[in-house]
Amino acid sequence: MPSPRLLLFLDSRSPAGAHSHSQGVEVAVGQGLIVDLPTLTDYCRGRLRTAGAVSAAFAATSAQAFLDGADAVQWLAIDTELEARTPSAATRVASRALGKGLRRLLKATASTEEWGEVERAWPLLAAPHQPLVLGAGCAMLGGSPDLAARAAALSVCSAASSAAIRLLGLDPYAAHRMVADLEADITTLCREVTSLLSLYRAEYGGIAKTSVWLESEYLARLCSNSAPAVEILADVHAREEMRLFAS
Amino acid sequence: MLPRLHGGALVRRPSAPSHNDGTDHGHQFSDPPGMDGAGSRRDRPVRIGIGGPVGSGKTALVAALCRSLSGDVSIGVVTNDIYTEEDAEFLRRSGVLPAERIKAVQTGACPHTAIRDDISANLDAVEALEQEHPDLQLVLVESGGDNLTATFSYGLVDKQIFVIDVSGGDKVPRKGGPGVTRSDLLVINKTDLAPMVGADLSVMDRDAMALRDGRPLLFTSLAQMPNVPTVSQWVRLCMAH
Repeated sequence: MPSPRLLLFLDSRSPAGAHSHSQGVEVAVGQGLIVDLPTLTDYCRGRLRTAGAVSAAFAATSAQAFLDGADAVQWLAIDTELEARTPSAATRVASRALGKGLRRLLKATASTEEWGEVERAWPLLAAPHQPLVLGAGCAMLGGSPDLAARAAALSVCSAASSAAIRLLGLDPYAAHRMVADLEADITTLCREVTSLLSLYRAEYGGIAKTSVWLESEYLARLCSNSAPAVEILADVHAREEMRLFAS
Repeated sequence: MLPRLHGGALVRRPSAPSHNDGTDHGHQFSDPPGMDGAGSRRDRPVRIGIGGPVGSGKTALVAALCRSLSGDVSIGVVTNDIYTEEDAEFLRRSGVLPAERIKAVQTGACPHTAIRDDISANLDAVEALEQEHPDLQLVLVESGGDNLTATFSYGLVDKQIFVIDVSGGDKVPRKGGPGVTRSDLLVINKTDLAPMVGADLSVMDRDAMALRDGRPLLFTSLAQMPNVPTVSQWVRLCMAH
């Protein structure tokens, strides 16, 4: 059962900076690509298969890496692999800003001892990408890699939906219903993510607490799906003068 | 009547911004919890939030404070405009501060969230300014134009100024809201317009003071007194305190 502390960490109302990021929805609305609930639904499905899948894979990986006591160099490798899977410079900046915000929240949510573990693990990462903090924080507060993956995938959709509610005046209940109906997509996606993780852990040490699996080709095999148009639009958005959202 | 007001006759206790109840102990809103604890403002520049409704003169006040103080105070500014860069751009163009001392934060269409409920982007901007300019003594955080309920979290600022103006009529202070009642300093701007809109400044003064539990109030006309000496003096006292 997730602890209240973990639920608080995952609560979208907690102050982690997410409210000013739209998952690319603002620029997509500006381009006329998202105009209503059906087009938003398509966009969220696309986001789930691309950025959502990558984010979920790295959140689950980071949760397991935290549980297995990954060292500073291994954490840097995880961060570098995610950097390489984020073609848009603006999205990389946004992901690190969100990581920094979530790290601040985690520091406030965790006990001093727990936070000390994070500090020891991340001497090379001042502002890690957001899924790393989400995964590590989730694991620290008692959550599984699967939960971290679900939270990452869901947050991609809920952030997009929340931005569309504000930008298009959509019915919030209809938008939430749409996100809730993505449950099957999220579950399937997270099953793939965690089965790859289990496969490599079983091969490189099994139940013993070791992060040696991170040294394998596991990281290279993680999802690298991307939507070029969304990536390009993210960079276009960052140059726009009139924008409400940071990304 | 009006020139006397501009001269400061209605200024309330401008010399005691923090302890305006005449004592030397703190009270709830002027001395928020944690201010003297870890990361207290003795280790870093004083942070002052400037909030208030759209068009009341927040950006003009920030520009005026920069003009008035930057001769001997090292200042940085964070803006929270609805559309990102407009206020920051105005400040950069006006030349009151070097461009690298002004940072803009996006608020995701929720300006009040960015200064109160989720201050992370603003904290990032303030801390970046502090790192980039080690000599910094004062950071002004300007909120996006919002409504009478928008106030700053004391996790972000040490003190906050709430700016309203007379053009909306003299009933505004009576409507209250946390900005009018709890801000560390209430500024009622555009007093030069009072005769044109039929606003009675003494009514605004009486209504605001009835709600403010002794916290100070200043009437300003940025059009007539562009260097805002009274507000500048209040800011200097905050920094000295």
